[in-house]
Amino acid sequence: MIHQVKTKIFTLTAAACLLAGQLLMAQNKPKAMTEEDYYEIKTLSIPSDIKLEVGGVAPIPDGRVAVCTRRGEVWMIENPYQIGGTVPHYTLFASGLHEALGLAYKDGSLYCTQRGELTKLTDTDADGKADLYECVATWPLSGNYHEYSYGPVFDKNGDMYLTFNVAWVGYGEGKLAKWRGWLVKVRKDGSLEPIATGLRSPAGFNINAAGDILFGENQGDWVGSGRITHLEKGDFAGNAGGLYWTKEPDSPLKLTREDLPDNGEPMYEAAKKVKQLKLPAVWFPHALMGISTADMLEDVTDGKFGPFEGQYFVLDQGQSKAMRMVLEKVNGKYQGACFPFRDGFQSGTIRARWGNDGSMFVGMTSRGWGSTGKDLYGLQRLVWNGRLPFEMKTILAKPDGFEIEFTQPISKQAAENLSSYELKSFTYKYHHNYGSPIINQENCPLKGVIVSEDRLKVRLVVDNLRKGYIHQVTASGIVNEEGQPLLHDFGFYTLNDIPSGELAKLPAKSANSNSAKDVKKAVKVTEVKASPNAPVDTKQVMALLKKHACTSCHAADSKVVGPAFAEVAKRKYTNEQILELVYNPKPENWPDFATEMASMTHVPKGDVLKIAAWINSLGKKAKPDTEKLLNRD
Amino acid sequence: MFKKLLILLFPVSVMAQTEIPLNDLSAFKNPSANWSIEGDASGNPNSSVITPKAGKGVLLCTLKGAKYQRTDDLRFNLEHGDIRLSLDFIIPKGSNSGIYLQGRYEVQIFDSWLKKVPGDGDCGAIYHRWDETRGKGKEGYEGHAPLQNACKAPGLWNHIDIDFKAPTFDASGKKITNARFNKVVLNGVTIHENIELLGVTRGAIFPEEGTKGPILIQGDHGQVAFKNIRYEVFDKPLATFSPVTFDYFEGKLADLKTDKLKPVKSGKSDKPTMKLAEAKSDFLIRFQGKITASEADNYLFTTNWTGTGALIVDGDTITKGSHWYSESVKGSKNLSAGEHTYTLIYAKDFSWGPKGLGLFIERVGSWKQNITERTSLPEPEPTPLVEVKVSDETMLQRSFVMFGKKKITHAINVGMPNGLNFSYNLNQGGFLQIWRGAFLDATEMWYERGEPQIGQAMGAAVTMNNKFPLVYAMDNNGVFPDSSADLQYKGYRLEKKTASNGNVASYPVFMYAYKGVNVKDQETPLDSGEGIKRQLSVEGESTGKLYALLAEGSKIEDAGGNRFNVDGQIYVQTFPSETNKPFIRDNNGRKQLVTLVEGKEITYHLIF
Repeated sequence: MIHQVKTKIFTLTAAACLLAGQLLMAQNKPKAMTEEDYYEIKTLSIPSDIKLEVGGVAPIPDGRVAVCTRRGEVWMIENPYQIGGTVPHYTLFASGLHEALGLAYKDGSLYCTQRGELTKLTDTDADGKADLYECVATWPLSGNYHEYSYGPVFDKNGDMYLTFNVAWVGYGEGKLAKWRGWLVKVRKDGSLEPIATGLRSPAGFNINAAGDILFGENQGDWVGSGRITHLEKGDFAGNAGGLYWTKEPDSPLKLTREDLPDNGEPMYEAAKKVKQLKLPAVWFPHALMGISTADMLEDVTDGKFGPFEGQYFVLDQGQSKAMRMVLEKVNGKYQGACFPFRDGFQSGTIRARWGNDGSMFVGMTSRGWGSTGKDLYGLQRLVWNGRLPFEMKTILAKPDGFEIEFTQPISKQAAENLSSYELKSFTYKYHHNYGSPIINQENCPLKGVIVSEDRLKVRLVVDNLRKGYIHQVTASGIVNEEGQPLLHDFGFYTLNDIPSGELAKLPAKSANSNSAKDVKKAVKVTEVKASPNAPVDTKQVMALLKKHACTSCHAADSKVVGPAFAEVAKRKYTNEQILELVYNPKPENWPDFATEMASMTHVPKGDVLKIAAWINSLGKKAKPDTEKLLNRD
Repeated sequence: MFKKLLILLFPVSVMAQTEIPLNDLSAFKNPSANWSIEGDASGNPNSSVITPKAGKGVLLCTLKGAKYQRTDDLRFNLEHGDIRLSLDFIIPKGSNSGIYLQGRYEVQIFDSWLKKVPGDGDCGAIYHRWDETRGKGKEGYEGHAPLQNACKAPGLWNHIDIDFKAPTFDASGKKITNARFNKVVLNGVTIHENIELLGVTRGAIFPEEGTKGPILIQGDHGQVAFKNIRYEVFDKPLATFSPVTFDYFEGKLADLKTDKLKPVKSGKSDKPTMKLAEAKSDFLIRFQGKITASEADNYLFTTNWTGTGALIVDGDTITKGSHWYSESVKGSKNLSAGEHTYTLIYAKDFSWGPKGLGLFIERVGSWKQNITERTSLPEPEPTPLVEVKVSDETMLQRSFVMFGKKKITHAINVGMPNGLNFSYNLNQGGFLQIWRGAFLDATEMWYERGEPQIGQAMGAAVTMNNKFPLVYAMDNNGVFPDSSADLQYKGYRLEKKTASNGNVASYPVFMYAYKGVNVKDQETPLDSGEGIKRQLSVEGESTGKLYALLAEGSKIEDAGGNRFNVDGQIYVQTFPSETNKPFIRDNNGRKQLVTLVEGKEITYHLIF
C-alpha cells in the first residue's frame, strides 16, 4: 500500500515537471518526440520460478500465446494481453525438448523445432498438457553447440520450412552434419528437401504475403554485416559452410567452396562471377543499424500496428531492438531500405509474432549472447498507440537518385534546402574472415530536390550512385508542419540495381548547387592531432560516441554488448593503441564477451583519438596513481 | 578463444596404486574363520547370502559363529596414514560392514538399497562417534550421511574410492590438523568432500587418534565380499624449498629473453609469487631458488600461468610455453637426493586475463605440494549447478549424452517420480544408462551458451548397450545391429499411470516403425522401486520370428527365479513361458541374453 502512495506522488511530481517543461518549450521548439511516444512496450509478468528464455512464440486464435524456451519448455500463456491490468496465467504445456528455438500453431497442435527434430505437440486428452510428441522430421547433428535449428515457418500450402545454423569450430562449418547451413522444406513424409544454402546463423526467416522467403543473417565469416536475403531454390546466400552438401544428388546447386573468390572484393563483384551467389535485399550495417539480426515480421495487421502496412520489422538480439525494413522490386529482385524503429526491450530480442490485436509479441533471451537489455530473458509486446510518428516511410530507388516518402507532410522550405540531406555510400568485403570493415565509402553529392504537391514525398537527384552499394540517406534537416524533426533521420538503402524510368526534371535554381568534386570527401580523413594531455571535451565525445554508434555496444561504466569504457581504460592503452584496436579489433582480448567487435575504419582518426583520450581520462579519474604506468611507454 | 581451452584440459595426477593380493589371506593379521578367498561372488536382491565360486581374487566374509565378535573384524597388515583406497564390494540383503581407515574412522557399508534419505548409518556414511556420557539416545554424534544414496541392489558389485588424510601432531603429540576425508565417491557419485573428523568414530579399535593404523574391515555383522582392493599411501617426504631471489623486468618479453635488459627490481622472497609483478601486463619475472629433494626419485612438476613461462631445473627445461592459468602443464625429472637449482620464468605481454603463476611438485607416495605462494595462482571461476529435479511428475529432458567417448545427439533423459532414471537414444530405441537418485545435471546445457550441451546423470549410473532390442530373424542367431536404417523414430506419447501409492504420473511410450510393424517401448518404475519395467510391443506383421535382446555383457549368470545377473551391475528379471525360455549366447566375445518373443509383447525388469 505504501508502495502505491509513493508511486502516485512520483507520478504527480513527474507530471508537474512535464507540465513545466512543456510550458517552457512552448515558447521555442516543440517537444522532442521519442519512440515510446508512439510505440509502447508492455512487459508480460513472468512467474519468478519460470526461466522464460524464449526461443519461439506462437499466438493462438483463442487469445492465448504459446512460448517455447531454450530450456525446452513450452508455456501456454492465458491472458497475455493483460487486459485491464490483469496478470497472465502460465501452464506448462510441454517440456523436455532440446533447445527449442521455433514454435508455430496449426490446427490445434503446436510445431516446435528442437536441435535435431521438428516435433508436433498435441494435447489429446484435453488436460491442457501435450501428451503426444510426434516426430515430424529429424536430421543429424554433430554435437556442436552452434548447430541451432529454427522454424517451422508454414507456407500457404501448409508446408513447413526450417533453417539450420552451421557449426562453429573457429569458423562456420557445415560438413559436420547434413544440411547444416541450409534452408530446407519438410516434405509430407518427413524427409527434407534442400532449397538454398549459404546460411550462417539464420535465426529469423519469414514467408511474406507474396509467398517469398526472406531470411536474416548475422555478421560473421563470409558475412560482412547483418543482412536480409530473399532465398529461392538453388540460391547461395554467401557463407561457404553449407556448400559441402551440394554434392548430394538432391542439392539444387552444384557450387563448391573452390568456386568462391575469397579476395575481399565486395559481394556485388563476387556475384558477377558466381551466378548462384544471392545478394542481400537489404544490408543492416553492423553497429550503425544492428549487430545480430534475429526474427522479422511483415506488417499484415491492416493498420493496427501503424502506418507501415506491408513493411517489415526486424529484431536485433544484441541491441534489444526492432528495426524497420521496406522492400521494393527492381527488375524483378527485392531491394530496399532499413531504418531504426524501436529500442529499449528488456533482453535479447530473438523472436517476434503478431498478436491477435495487431500488437507484436517479442520473445527474448540473452544467455551466452549479451544484449543491451539487461534481463536474462523476457516477453514483451510492442503496441502502437494510434499516434502518427513522423518518419521516413519509405526510400525507393529512382533512375537518378531516391524518393523518400514521409508519414506526415513536411515543411517545403526545409525540404528544398539541399543541406537538409546527406548521402554517402559504402560496402563490405566478401571473404572468409569474420565480419568486415566498411570499405569504399564515398559521398553522393545531391544535385537537387523536388518536393511533391502534397509535401509527403521528396525526389532526391543524386550523383555517384553505385550499384551494389549501401546508400546512407540522412535527412536531418527535414521538419513537419509543426517544426518537429524526424523521429529517425536516416536509413540505409541497398542499391543492388538502379531502376529505369523517367528522370527527374529539376528546377533550374537547384541544378548546380552541389557538385561531383565532393565525392571523395567522406573518405578523406581529417588529420587531427589529439594530444594526450589536451583537455577532454566530454560533451563533444558524447556526440561522437552516438554519431559513430559506439553507444550501441558500449557504455561508460556498465557492460553492454561490449565492455564498459571504464574497463577499456583499465587496460591502459595509449590513444594510438585504442585507435589501432578500433580499426582492427582483437576480440581475443575480451574472452568474456560473446559478441565480437567489428572493425570501425570508417570512423575518422581524429574522432577515434578524441574518444580514446576521453576513455583514458576515465582511467585517470578512477586511479590517479596509475598515471606513471600510463605514461610509461 | 583462450576460454574454450578450459574445457579440454583435465588435470592428471600421479597414479601408483598397489593392489592387495587376494590369492590368500596373508595380507591380513590373524583372519578369523569368517574370512575366505574365493574366485567370484554374486547374489540376489532378496537374499542375505552371497554365492561364492571357488578360485582366487575375491575376499568373502561369511558369519560362521555368533554376531558381534570383534575378533571377526579383518585387520590389514598395511598400516597407513594418508591414503587413497579403492575397492569393490557386495553387500547382501540386510547385511552390514564397514571400512575403518587407520582402524579408527569408519566408512559404513550397509544394505541401504532403496532408501530415499540416507542417514549416518547408511551405505557410504561416515559413521557417527559414540559417547555414553552424552546420555541415553544421544550417544551417537558427528556422523555424516552420504550426500545421496548411491548404493546398489544387494548382490551387485559396488565401487568405492576413499581419499583420506590422517591427522597430524606436533612433537609433543598435540593434534595440529584433524583427520579428513578429502573425498569419498561411491559408484561414481561424490558422497563426501572435505569432511573433517574431530575424533574417532564408533567402534574404532584405538580410542586415541594417531598418525598410523591398519585398515580394518568389519566382519561380525553379516556377509560381505570385496575385490580389487587398491591403495596408494602418501608417506614419503617430498622436498624442501629455499627462499628465492627474483628479477623483475618490464616490457613485452614473451620470448623470455632478458640478457640485454636490466631488471626494474630485484630482491628476495619466501616463495615465488606473481604478486611481485607490479604491472598487470608487459612484464617478466624470474625466480631462482633451490629444491632439496629428500630422496632420489622421479619428481613431477606442474606449472600454471597466464602468458608465457618456463621452468628450468638443473639446467633442463621441464615445462615451457604459452598457456592460460587453468591449464596444468606437467613435466618430470629424476632428481638425486639433495639440493637442486630451479628457475621459474613468467612473462605476460597482453593485458587481458588474470595474472597467475603456479609451480607444484609431487612424486609417487607424496601429495602434490605448492612451491609458489598460495595466492599466486587464482582459483577457477565458480559455476553454479543447474539441476533438473523430479517431483511427483516424470521429467523428460532431451540433451546430448556421452556414451563412452561418443556424443549421442538425439537422446532423452527420463526421471521418474520414485528416483529411477534412464537415458535413451531416440534414434536407436536403446538405453544408454540407467540410474537411481538425483536426476540430471544440466549445467553444461544451461549455463551461458552451454557449449557441451551434455546432460549428466546425477546418480550412480549403469552403462547400457544403446541397442534397439528387437530383431526379426529366422533362428536363434539373428544379429542385433548397432544401428539400423530400418528403424524410424516416430515420437512418444505420455501415458498416465497410477502408482500403488496413488501418485498419478505420466510415462513415455516411445514409438517406432520397424520393418513394417509399429513398435511401442514403454518404461515404468516398478512399484517396489527396485527397478524399471520395460514393455515392448509390436503391431502388424513382418517376416521372420521376433527376438528380443534382454541384456548384453561380458558375464551373464542365472541368478535363479528367471533372473539374470549381468556383470554384477544389474539384474534382468524375465517372465518366460513353460516352453520358451531366454537363452544366453556368445556374440563376438560378449554374452547376450536373448529370447524369442511369442505373441506381440515382451516384458522384462531391470533391477539395480
